[in-house]
Parts: sequence; C-alpha cells; structure tokens
Amino acid sequence: MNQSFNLRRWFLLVREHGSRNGKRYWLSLLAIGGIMVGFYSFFILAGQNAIPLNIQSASYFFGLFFSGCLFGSMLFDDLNNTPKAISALLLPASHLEKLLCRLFFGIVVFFISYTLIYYLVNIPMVNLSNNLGAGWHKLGREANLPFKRSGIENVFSNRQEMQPLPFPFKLNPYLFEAFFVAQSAFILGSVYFRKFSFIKTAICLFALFFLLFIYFGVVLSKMTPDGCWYDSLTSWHINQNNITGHVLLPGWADRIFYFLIGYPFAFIFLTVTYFRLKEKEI
Amino acid sequence: MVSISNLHFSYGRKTVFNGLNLSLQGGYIYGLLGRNGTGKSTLLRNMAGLLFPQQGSININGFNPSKRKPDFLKHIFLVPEEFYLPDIKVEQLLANQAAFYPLFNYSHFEKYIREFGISMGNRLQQMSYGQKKKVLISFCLASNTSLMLMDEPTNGLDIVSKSQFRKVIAGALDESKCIIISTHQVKDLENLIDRVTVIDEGKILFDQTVDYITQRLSFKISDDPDEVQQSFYSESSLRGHAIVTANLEGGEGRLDLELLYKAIVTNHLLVQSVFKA
Repeated sequence: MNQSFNLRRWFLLVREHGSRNGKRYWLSLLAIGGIMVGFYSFFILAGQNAIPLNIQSASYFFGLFFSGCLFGSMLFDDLNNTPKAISALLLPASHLEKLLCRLFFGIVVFFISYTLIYYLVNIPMVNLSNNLGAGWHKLGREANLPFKRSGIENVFSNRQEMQPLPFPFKLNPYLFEAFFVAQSAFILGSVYFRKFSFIKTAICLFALFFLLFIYFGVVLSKMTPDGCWYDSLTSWHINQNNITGHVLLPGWADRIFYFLIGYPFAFIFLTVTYFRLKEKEI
Repeated sequence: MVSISNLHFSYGRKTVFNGLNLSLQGGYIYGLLGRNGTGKSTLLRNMAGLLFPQQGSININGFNPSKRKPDFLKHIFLVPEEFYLPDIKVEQLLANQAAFYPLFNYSHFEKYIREFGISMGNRLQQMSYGQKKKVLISFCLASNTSLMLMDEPTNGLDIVSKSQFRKVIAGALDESKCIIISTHQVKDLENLIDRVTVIDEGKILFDQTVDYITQRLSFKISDDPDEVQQSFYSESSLRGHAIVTANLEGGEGRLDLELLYKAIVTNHLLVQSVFKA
C-alpha cells in the first residue's frame, strides 16, 4: 500500500476525524450563526433600516476572516496536548493524509459551512430588516419617499456599487485570496506554536505586513521618481519637477503580481505545515 | 523485532541515553523497570517514533520509527501513561479506529472488554480513568500489532483489575508479538514477564530472562546472619530477612521482582557477576 497517500486510508481518517470532532464543529457553526443573528439584530434595531449590501458583505468577510483564522489556529491544537498528540500521530496514516484530512475540514468544509450558515442567517435577517424597515419608514420624516428595500448580497460577485473603493477595483477575489493565505498562516501557526498560536500567528502576520509596508512604502519609494502608488502596486503616480503622470504596468502584470503575492504564500505555508508535522516530536 | 543501537537522546542539556543498545524478540513479554525519570517512557516514545534519536538507530520490523510510515504504525500500538480517548461510545471507537489495524480482532476486543467488565455502549468520557485504560488496553491487545508498548499500564487499575490485566496480557501473547511493559510498580508484573530489563541513568543496568534469573538467583526469607551478610540484597521483614543470594542449590525458584529490582539498583555489579559466571 502506498506510504504517502492512500484514498481508502484517507476516507477512514476523514470519518474518524469527523466522528471525533463533529460535535465541536457543529457547536462552533451554531455559535457563528448566533453571533451573526446578534449582530444583524443590533444593526436592525439601531439603524431602523434595511441591511445594506455593503454591511452584508462586510459582515461576511469579517466573520470569514475572524472565524476562519481562529478555526485554522485550532486545527492542529491537539498536537500541543501530549495525550491527544500521541493518539493523533500514532494513528496509522501518513503525514500527508493527516494534513489533507485536517485541511479538508479546516478549509473546504469550514468555507462551505460558513457560507451556508451566513446565507441561512442573512436571507431571513435581510427580509426581516426590509419588513421592519418599511414599517418604521412609514412612521418617519421621509415617509413620502419610497422605502429602499435591500437585496441579498452575493459575496462572490464583483459589483462595483458594493466596493468601498472609489474606482472599479474587483475586491472580492482578492479578499478570498487574502483569506486563504491568512488561514494557511494560522494553520501553520497551530503546528508551529505550542501555546497561544492564534495570538502569536497574528503578531507574526502583523510583523510581516509591517515589513512589506516598509519595503513598498519606504525602500521602493526611494528607488522610484517622486510620487506615490496609485490604485494598485503596479501603477505609480509621478510628481517630479512639475511633471506629473502615471506609470502603469499592463493589466496581466497586475493580475500576475496579485496572484503571486497571494496563493503561492498559502501553498508555502501549507507545505511548511507538512514538514513541521513530519518533524513533530512528543 | 526491535534493534536499538548506540541510542543517544537528550532533552536540551539533560542527557537521557548515551549509547544505549537493546535487542528484543517476538514471543516475549518484556518488563522495562526503572526509577522515575530514568528514561523508560522516553525509550518507548523513541521506539514508537514520537521522539527522534539524536544519534544511533532504532529498527523495528525493518522500519525506522521516526518516519512514522503507515505500514510501521499499523503494526505498533502504544498505551501511554497519559492517554486520550474521544467523547464517543466504545462501539464508535471500534468503528472509527479498528479499520486502521489490519489484524484487529473484534471478537477478541469484546472478550477483553467483557473480562474487564465494561459495556460496549458506554461513552468513553463518562468512564473512570481506570475503565478508560482498560478499553485502551483491550484495543491494544485486539489490534494484534506485532509490537505493543505499554507505559505504566497498571496505574489507575484496582487490585482485581491488575490481576485481570495480567490474565489478558498472558493470553494475548504469541510468537509473533512482543510486549514491552514499562513500570516502576514491579509487583504488578510478577508472574507475567519473560524478561527483565532494568534501565537506570540512560543505560541498561540489567537484562535477563526470568528463567535464567531464577536459575542464578534465589529469593528467600532467612534468619541466618551469615547468609544475610553474604546476600546481594537484604531487607528485614516480620518473618525475618528477605534476601537475594546466588542460587547454589540449582533448580528454579520463585522470582521476587521487587527484591530483584532493589538488588540491581543497589548492587548491580555484584548481581551481574552471578550472570557472567
């Protein structure tokens, strides 16, 4: 039998992991749903209006980032507890199978479940906000104006109106990309750090962002003509000697640039996780 | 089955093993004895692939344990001193984990569980520590792995359970299996083990079969001051002096594991001299 990956063994592992952690996962999803209901309820009561699309989008991505990274940081939590780690490491399956099993739950199952929970909460809460908002609107000062009902946000779309930026920047794909990179970093942190992995990984990521900020904002700026970044990191606004203008890289370079600073990092983080798992000693 | 050669291992600056050599075969129950903190658990974890040797090699059934390959893991089972069992029913544990062990025998598991007085429908988290340990020991034995490592398996077991433990272990052994039981409660292993290995300060202090020990050593109560004086180890008891001496009469006597252990720890060079002769 293959010592690196065997599908039958992987299915056994998935069944075993699901059976052992299923209750915890269900409770976590219920908690996420509960927090969403709480947040939307507060918003409806405080704003006395329909929940706008940008709030729906923001709550989806905030929840995705926070709960996804928290979940990622707990994915290999058991390896920091000696009895649990012995049980996990000595189960007859390869390191790759163990990693892929956890990633299946931590990334695939979590993402699908979170999105489902989001819409299970979002649709009725938006409808409720529309109905309640319409009622409050009739009693308000602007009762003569038509009440603007809110639609249901499609988090996978790139409609410009819901973008917070004033230019046609397709934000959502980059947010998903950023999420998967961040979650991969937290998954690595859960294997790397014995204690407080969420906090320690968050500190490391902030340090990394700070270094990138210094690199792009200070180091690269010194090497370029006077000016500033404009719209994206692939366009530079020149303002030197009364000469103004834009230096733009082609669109494909922009896409490749953003792809390269995204998914490859996720792959690197998960590859390092695999090697950390192989080297794990109890 | 197990071949350990020139094993070096340390936790930071604290050296645990400094060139340890050990060879173990199938068909035996080995008692790994030693004081607290002498490296018994560390040795078992090195054998299971949970710790990696800093120097030297460990070979188990042709595998390097530190690679933790599935074919190695499915033929080894460790019952750790502190263990984890998920919050599920015993039958669910079987459904989830037994399939990983190709030689797992369900009827044997049910037999062991019955012998320990545990119901299959019980939830693991609602059981006492001792009951959970019995489930784990039963699972270990039913997995029919060729190497079974048990770290202080009798901790948390009551007196009746300890004798049940000895019974099920003795019944589970066959030529293809090697059972290593690490403990500092030497009395619990009496009449069970085939070979005594005493580990102290990272070295194998003593390693002999029980048959050979009883041929060479005698464990008895004596009131003869000369005999007590010449013994390898003596301690006073209500009936006289319990002593360990050379077996000059021939024949095999009864092994008192606790006395043997104390004799080895306090006077191992003298005890060893009997076996070299």
